[in-house]
Amino acid sequence: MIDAGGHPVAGAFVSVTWGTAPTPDIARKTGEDGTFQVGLPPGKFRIRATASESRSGEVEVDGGEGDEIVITVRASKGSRADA
Amino acid sequence: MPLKSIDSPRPSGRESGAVVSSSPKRDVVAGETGPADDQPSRASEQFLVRGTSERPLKRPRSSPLESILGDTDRRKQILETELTPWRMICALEIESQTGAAYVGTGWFAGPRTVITAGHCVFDPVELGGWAKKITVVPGRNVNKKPFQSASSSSFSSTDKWQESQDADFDYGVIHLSSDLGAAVGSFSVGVLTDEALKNRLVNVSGYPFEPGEGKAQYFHANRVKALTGRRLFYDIDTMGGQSGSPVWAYEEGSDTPVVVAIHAYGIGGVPANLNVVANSGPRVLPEVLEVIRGWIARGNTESAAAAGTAAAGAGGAAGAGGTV
Repeated sequence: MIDAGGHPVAGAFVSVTWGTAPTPDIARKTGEDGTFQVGLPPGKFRIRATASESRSGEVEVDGGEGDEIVITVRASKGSRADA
Repeated sequence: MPLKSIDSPRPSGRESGAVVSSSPKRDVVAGETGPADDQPSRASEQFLVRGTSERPLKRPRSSPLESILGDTDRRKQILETELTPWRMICALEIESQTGAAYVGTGWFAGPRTVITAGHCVFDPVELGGWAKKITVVPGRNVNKKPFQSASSSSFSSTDKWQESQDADFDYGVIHLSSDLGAAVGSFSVGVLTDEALKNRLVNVSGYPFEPGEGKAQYFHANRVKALTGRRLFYDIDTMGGQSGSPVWAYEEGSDTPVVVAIHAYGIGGVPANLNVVANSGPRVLPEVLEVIRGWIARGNTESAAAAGTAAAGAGGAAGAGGTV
């Protein structure tokens, strides 16, 4: 995970919010180097990341292939209505 | 179909199983109410749902694309986490074998027994097998831990989850070495018939990553939209971190919360042939209840043994100081 400046983001939260196959509703934190691991079966998935200071990002990926996923978190213009 | 409990490689646990019935009959393991609340919970009065409904409480306004099943997130933050039933629900801080951190949810079924999703305690990809350690924080409210916390490296799951990560068998437990649950009480856990679950209004509360970073409890309630022989599908908003949350209902004329399923999956977990958009979790079924009974019994046995050891130690010390 990286920020808008390309720097790794540690301690951010990552979770799968949509998919075409079952994925556990668990959330993971990025490590000190901004990396995380997520197990995805074959299918399409949307992954959401949130970091401090109201930064968030989303990507859609294909699962089951073991590819690298890069999520860029950016500051949102306003806080989420439920945050 | 027999279901076996599988333990993490630490103290051995009892294994038990029972033949599943194709038409499950009602069976409930009673929980403990715990110490009386200082005041009634306003959140309980305002938010908890009971009974059944032919229609959802609030219909999503557009095609849902996420575990938040509509245009807006309908969850409510629970601030009264020191009160029943919220205090029986725990934030989980999960550490994998490689030291990676995860957040999840669990709930007390006994003083030393915290039930959660199987993938919160065992996952060959995410956790590297069994979790290394899980810290249980009952009734957490952001930085407040009204009942302190306890950590454990002793877990169990089902054989079918450990062997194949089958979503229909995604159950797990955290065995504590202290009676932390005695301070908060425990949920009743029960098998309800298919007929009783049809259109049943159910409640789900847990610790999502958003909002709250796994430290704030969020609640939502609505209707059971569909059920299969092994899983419950409900029109309730959740987010990652709520894995392991109790899905509970109130039977007619009762104020006792009964957990009937364990939340585990977002929208992608729905079989295509059901033609519904919903979140889901594996049901409490007869053979599952039998396994949970075993987990609770194990905790109670260890608690009694610890109490006996403590009493013997106190008696021994008194004897050593006795008169000549």
